[in-house]
Amino acid sequence: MTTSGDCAVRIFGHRYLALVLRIYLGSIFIYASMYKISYPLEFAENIASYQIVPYWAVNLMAIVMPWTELICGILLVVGLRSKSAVCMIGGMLVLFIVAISLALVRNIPIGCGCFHSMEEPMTWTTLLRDFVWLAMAFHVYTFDSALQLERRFLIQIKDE
Amino acid sequence: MTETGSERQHDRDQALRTREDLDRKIFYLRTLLDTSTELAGIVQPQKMLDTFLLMTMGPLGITTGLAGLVNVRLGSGHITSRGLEPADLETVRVNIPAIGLRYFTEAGTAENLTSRTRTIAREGLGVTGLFPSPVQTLFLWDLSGEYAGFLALGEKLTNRPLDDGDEELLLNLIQILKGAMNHALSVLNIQQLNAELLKKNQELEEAMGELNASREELDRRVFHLKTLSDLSSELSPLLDMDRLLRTFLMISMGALGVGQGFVIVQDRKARKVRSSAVGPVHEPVLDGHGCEQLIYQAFDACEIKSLAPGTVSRMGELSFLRQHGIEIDVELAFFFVIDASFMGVFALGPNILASLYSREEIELIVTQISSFMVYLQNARAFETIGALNEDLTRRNEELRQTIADLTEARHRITLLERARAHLRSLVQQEVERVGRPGLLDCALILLLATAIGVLFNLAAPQGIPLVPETLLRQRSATVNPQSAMRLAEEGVAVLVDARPKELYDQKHIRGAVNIPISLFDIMYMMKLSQVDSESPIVVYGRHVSRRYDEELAFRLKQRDHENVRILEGGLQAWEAEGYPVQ
Repeated sequence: MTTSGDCAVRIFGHRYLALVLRIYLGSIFIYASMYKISYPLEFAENIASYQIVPYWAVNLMAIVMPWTELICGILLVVGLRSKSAVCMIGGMLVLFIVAISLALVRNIPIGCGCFHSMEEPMTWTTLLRDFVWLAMAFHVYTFDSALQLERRFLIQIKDE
Repeated sequence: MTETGSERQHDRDQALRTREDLDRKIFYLRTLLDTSTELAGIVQPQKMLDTFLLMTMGPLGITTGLAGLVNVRLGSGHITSRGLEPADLETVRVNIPAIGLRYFTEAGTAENLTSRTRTIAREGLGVTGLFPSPVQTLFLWDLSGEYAGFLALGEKLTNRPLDDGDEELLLNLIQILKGAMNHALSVLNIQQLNAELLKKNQELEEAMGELNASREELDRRVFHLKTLSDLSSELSPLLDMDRLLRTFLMISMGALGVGQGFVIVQDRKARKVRSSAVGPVHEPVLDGHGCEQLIYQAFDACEIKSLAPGTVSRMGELSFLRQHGIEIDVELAFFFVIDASFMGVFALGPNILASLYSREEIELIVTQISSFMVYLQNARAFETIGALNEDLTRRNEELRQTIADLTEARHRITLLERARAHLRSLVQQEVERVGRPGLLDCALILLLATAIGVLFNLAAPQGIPLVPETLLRQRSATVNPQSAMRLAEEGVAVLVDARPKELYDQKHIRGAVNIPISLFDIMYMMKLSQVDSESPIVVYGRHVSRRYDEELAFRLKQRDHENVRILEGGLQAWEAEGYPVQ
């Protein structure tokens, strides 16, 4: 029992699992940023529909956030500054969770606006999905060490 | 009478004797006068003795006589005789030194030598044999100085001895002779002195001649030495080989009065040929091979074939010089050897006087060349030292440069090591930092995202304003809920909900028309196109993130609706007033 438990822990905490999750998360955010970058006006409406961001900051957020997602997604995929990137992604997920939670509590009938504007109204499932992604981000933060381009390069220099 | 006669006779005899005495005195006086007259004109002692002897023997009637003049110091003398046998005369001549010794020196006679005349009778002569037997009376006298004289007389013809009168006459004659003889001797001395003076003068002139010759020789030596001194003083400060050659040539030619000259030296080690020419000639141009040939031919033409250092040898054959372009009428040429690899030729044309060079001049030239060789050697040594110094300076410079390069390299290495250490430290920090998140990274990501997003938004056709346009527009007029309610009840105003349809569906003022901004054109056509432009329109709908009412009011104004107002407090204020919603 103990052995199977240790094995499970080992598999759960394996760095390649973290690598898979890292690439997955990065890809999700890259994909999500595509729509937002292409349609900033719609994304601004989505942000505004949450009724959290002050009206004067909505457009600025709609312009900056997709690029932040894209950069963090790319950094995660290539393994560069992945810790910082996954922290930022985690932070954004926390922000999304808070926003979705508020929207659900306030019964605001809107889609989450995560991937495109013509989504179904968000539900608690949407919140759960974000929690899962947040857990993935935590896993990546904790166990990720494989195929990190930056670390590989720096360790080579250090060895010289 | 007899007495008287005898007296007369006596007087007559007396007078006769007196007369005889007087005649005799007159005779003596005449004899003395004649002798004095005769001797006065004679200066030769020999002739004077002859004359004196004749003038003495004649008046006294003496047949045999001998007169002599003796040099007491030398033991020589002159004698003359009359009536004496040649053998006797020869005997006396031989005995002259003995006579001088016997009668005229202090040791030979007891009497003091004075200038007086002594008379010695035959008996006084003794048996010395100095005088022959015919001599009966000897008169001796001293003359001035070292001379003395004697007169030896024989018997008279009358065989009577000399009386007092004769003796007095003789003494007087001797006095005259002494005076004449002194005079003659003085003249003779003067003549001898004159002759000696002439001889001395001649010797002096000869000595002067020799002195002048010596002086000329000395002057020439001084000139040579001065020339050498000038040469040394001129050449000593010169260390440049070309100037040395030129200066030597000028000084040598100037010292000898020569108009044309040429000098060439070859340094085989340095492979250099230097030459200088003065005079109406072209400077000969000789390369190394030509100079080598010239040196070889010069050596072959030398009188002394030696290559020992310091050799200066005169060249005999000079015609080959013209073959090498030395267009000088060379009169004199020398080949000189400084060392086995440094030799030269020095040639001079004719001097100004067109005379042959003297032995001394040739010696001078040889000496000058010897000095010149010393300075040439010094100049070459200086050149060698200069080259070595230059090489040393260059090497020093290279060394300094190398040291500077090394120092710079070391400095660079130090810097690189520091940089490496710094980089290692940075890498270490980076490696460590990779393992943990950083605020700086987050800030950089945000900054990058902001920059790219803003730039992309500005460039993209679907770009949106960074801040809502409503924020920059003039606020629309408002209406309070009460007034709005009153207008709505009166049916004058139209209430418009500007929010999205989902929010409108959740809750809205009863009777309000929903015109979302995103569907403004369609919804306006459908619901407000019939509304009079002057009719009041009350617009509401805003939340923290959007001011739909402001945007809608702006658009309605664009459609010429002049009386568009915004409900103060929005839906919340309306509800708070208890007005109906649905």
